[in-house]
Amino acid sequence: MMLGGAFIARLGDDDDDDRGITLAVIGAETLDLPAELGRFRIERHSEWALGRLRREVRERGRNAVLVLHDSGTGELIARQAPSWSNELMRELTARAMQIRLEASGLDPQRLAEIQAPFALTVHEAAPRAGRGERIAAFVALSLTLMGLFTGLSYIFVSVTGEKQNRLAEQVISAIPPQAWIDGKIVGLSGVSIVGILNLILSGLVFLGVSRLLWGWSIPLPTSIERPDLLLAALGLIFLGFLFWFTFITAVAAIIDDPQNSNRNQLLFLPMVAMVPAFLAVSDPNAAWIRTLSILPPTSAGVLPARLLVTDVPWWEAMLSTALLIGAILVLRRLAGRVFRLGMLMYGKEPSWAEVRRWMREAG
Amino acid sequence: MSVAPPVLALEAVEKRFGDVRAVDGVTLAVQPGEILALLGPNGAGKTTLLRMALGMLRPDRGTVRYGLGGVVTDRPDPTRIGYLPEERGLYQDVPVRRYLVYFAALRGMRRPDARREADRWLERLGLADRAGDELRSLSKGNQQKVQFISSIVHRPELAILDEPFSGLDPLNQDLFLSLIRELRDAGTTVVLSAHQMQLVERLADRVILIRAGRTAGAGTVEELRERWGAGTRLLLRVDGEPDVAFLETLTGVRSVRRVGTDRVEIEIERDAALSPLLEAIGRRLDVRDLRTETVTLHDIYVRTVGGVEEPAGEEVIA
Repeated sequence: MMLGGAFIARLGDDDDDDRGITLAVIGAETLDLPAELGRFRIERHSEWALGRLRREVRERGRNAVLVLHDSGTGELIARQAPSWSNELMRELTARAMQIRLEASGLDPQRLAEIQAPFALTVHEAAPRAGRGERIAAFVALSLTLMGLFTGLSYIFVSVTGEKQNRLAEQVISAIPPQAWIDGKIVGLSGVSIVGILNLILSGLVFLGVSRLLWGWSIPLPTSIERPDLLLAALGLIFLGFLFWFTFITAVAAIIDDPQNSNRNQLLFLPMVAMVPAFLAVSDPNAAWIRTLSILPPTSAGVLPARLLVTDVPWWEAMLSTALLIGAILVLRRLAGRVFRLGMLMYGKEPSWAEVRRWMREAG
Repeated sequence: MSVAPPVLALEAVEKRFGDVRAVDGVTLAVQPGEILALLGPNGAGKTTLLRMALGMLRPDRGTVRYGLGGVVTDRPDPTRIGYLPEERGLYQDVPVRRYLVYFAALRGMRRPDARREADRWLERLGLADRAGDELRSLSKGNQQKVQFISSIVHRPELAILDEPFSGLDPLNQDLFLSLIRELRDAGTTVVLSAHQMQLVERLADRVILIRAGRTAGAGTVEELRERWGAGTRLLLRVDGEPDVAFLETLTGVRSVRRVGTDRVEIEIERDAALSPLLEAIGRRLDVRDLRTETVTLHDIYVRTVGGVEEPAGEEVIA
């Protein structure tokens, strides 16, 4: 939750960058300011209003007050030095220059040539995700975390319950333990994914209705137009569920009393592994994030996050997926061995040395 | 004429758990249609042996083979095997019939057949009116009946029953006894472990005594009696507190045991002549009461496996 709060706060930091800023201007005639200067909206006021305007700024009633003097100088009054002050200075400088040029008597065509900006096209090699992408990624990761936690709880309760109720032998005598563990894991992974899809669908319906009834809108990610990306992210999340559910099934099988075992703490390991995924939303191309998006088990969370906010090289996605599938297959094998013997052990918990021996032994 | 292969054959199987040798070179073959009982103290390795027989544990050494459905293989076929574990549990919040159908379906039975068989068995055991009730609402005895049904509802060729009589009252013990006989008569081979000697004696075609993971004796009850030379036991009540040491010198007497002040147990050899023995006793003792009884499976069991301490750690996987 703290992480989520911090993340939302971080998303909110950029609000001024995307919105227009309203400036109360005293002496606007000095530079003959238009109603909009760049992204600044200009409200003209007389100098008599200065006291009231100052108070409004102090009480957060408005962004700032700009006072322009005949001497060609000005003062900006704001609660704190704003991040856009340099931008405002550039706009005012350009405006002042234009007025001086007009006063010099140059013909309009010559003036336009002089003022023509240098044609510079910017190509972003690693463009920063837009607000829509970041919100979508955050929501997707939150839902993943919710699905992961729900599925882990189901598996844990199911396995420890069957063990405590002495059902294991009956089931293992009827079906191979590997089939039992596989059925549990695939089934509950599917249930968790369906749960996530339900929440997404409900959210989209809610947004649609809100837009129709109240005109609400939130920025939607461009990735919504890329179903291949969404499917890939969903597939990776499913693989992540398979990995962690397999892990926790083996852990649950070696717990004798779920109320008192200190092995319960291992339930939080999957949650910890999801932390880098949230950090990846803000900085998806950092070297360490890229590394964690390739290596299992963090890749199951980090790679979907990156897919939603940035362009991921195809080879990274393929390598990451292949490694994750390989890790799942190895873990499945080891977990099956631990599960088969762990489920038949009553009255005590095996030591870690015993568990390691079970993993090495085939029988 | 070809001889049917054993339904289950274990050849020199061994299983260790850490430093504990739970099963140590046991060989046995279960013939089609017989009831074979495994007897042994707690921790002797019976459950481990049964788990290996079911393929739930793999032996460290030795082989396990199955002759089910006319095919000899080393892989157990759960659709042809039924199992009643010693550690029994139920899905408490599931209705009785649904529970039975679920396990029958796990063992390969079609659901309509499973429903029909479940209803037949529930009727047979007087639980037909409880078919829709959750298992937690049943008494312990009725829950055991449901567990028993779940182990045989799919009509297995081989039923492995670990302690089928434990926790049952005498009436239900008799009921289970007749049910197991019915199974055998219907063609199911039965392997069971039990501690109720008098029931095993009435039920089992063959008995295997297990001690510390090894076979300590095997055969029919009669064969075991012969092998142990066990004959008849004389139970005397005598007047006073006479010296009975002379009894051990008499021909045909295997052992003498004084019970209290006025009772004496004399175990005599099989086929020993009774008349001269009774005459000799009558000359020296004032006998007030005399009874005879045959040496029981319980006696053979105690003599065979008695005094053996439970191996430490066997309960780890037991």
